[in-house]
Amino acid sequence: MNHPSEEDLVLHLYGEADESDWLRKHLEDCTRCREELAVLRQVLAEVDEMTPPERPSDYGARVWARVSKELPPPLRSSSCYWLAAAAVLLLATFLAGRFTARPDADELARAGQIRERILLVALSDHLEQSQVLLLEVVNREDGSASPIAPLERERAAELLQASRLYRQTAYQVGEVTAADVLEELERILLDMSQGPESLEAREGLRSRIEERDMLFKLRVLGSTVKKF
Amino acid sequence: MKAVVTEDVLARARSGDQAAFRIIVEGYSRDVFRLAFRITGNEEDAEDAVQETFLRAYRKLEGFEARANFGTWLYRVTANTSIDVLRKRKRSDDRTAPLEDEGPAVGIAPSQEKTVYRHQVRARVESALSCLSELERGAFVLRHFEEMSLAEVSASLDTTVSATKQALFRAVRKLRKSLAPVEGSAS
Repeated sequence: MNHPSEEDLVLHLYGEADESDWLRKHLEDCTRCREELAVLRQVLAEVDEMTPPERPSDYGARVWARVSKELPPPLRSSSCYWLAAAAVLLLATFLAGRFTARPDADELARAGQIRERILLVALSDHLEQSQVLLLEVVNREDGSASPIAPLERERAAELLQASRLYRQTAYQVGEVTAADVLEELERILLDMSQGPESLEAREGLRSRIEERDMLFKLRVLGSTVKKF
Repeated sequence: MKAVVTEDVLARARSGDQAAFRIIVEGYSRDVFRLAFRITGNEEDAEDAVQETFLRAYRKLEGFEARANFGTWLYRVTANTSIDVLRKRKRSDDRTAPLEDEGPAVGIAPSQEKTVYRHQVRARVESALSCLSELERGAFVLRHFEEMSLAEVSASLDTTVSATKQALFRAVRKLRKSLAPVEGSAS
């Protein structure tokens, strides 16, 4: 008589067996295998004695207290202020002198809102483009590793210029956290734009991007911008 | 894990909202601890795993697809974090000291005998579990205690169903061997 293996019985106990009729029928007919199954059941029942210790009723709050200390600082909800200020600072020069007629107060307000919206979209786009570029560095599979390409260096240089403007504005209006993120981004973009075309340079950049959680920081900043 | 947060909370947490993430932490802490304890085998390591699990989850939330089951995803993060903690841990004799060595229960009341017996069995089980490899322990805990299917376990442990099965078989075989002396004595 062919008996089921221990593996067959384990799968049967966990409901993972291919429940063919022969196994069920065999267990009905074979005392030895039924005893074997009973032993396995008993062993596993004893394992159930290992119950985790109780946690206090405020356990979740205690865990949060520990975890929250390790999280990156949240961006201030007033981030819209520096973005609005950026709209004024960056676009004021561009628009200065272009209108000869003096607009009334309502027109100025509407123009201000439009400028802010334009800049928010531009900044959001800038952050997304930066993420895409950094992702290309991070996600390049080892098997197809290649040096930093000239085109990537060129894109990094362009993004670097824009990033400096946004960062300077952020500092001017006191949005230090956001400015710090942009400054970190700048350093990476600078190295990418000036770095050697080598595999080592790419690996070095990949490590820095990952160690500094740059993609995460850019995503958070981008999400904040999109809210306004 | 039970769904304890809404899609709105998840969406806000994914965009970096820490107040939303707090709801997740407070809602899932007990489940995460339970799994972490069963994989690591002691409170100290389990607490480390709990904290690290939520920090990893916060960083990886971007990769979580909204249509997926968040509890399953968090299980995966917890299991892998706990296994990492287990790997790093230097097993000391103190932590795995079998409690049955505390001596015979002399002069205790009959009502306490069962408690003492359960205590001894538990110590023996903990000792037996500590002999499993990380993969064996992870596979066994997720299948036995958390009642995940083998397919779910393999997905959580980033391995194949076949490798998960083999790990489960080895785990049960080792446990049976370690627990053999008390087989038949439980009641």
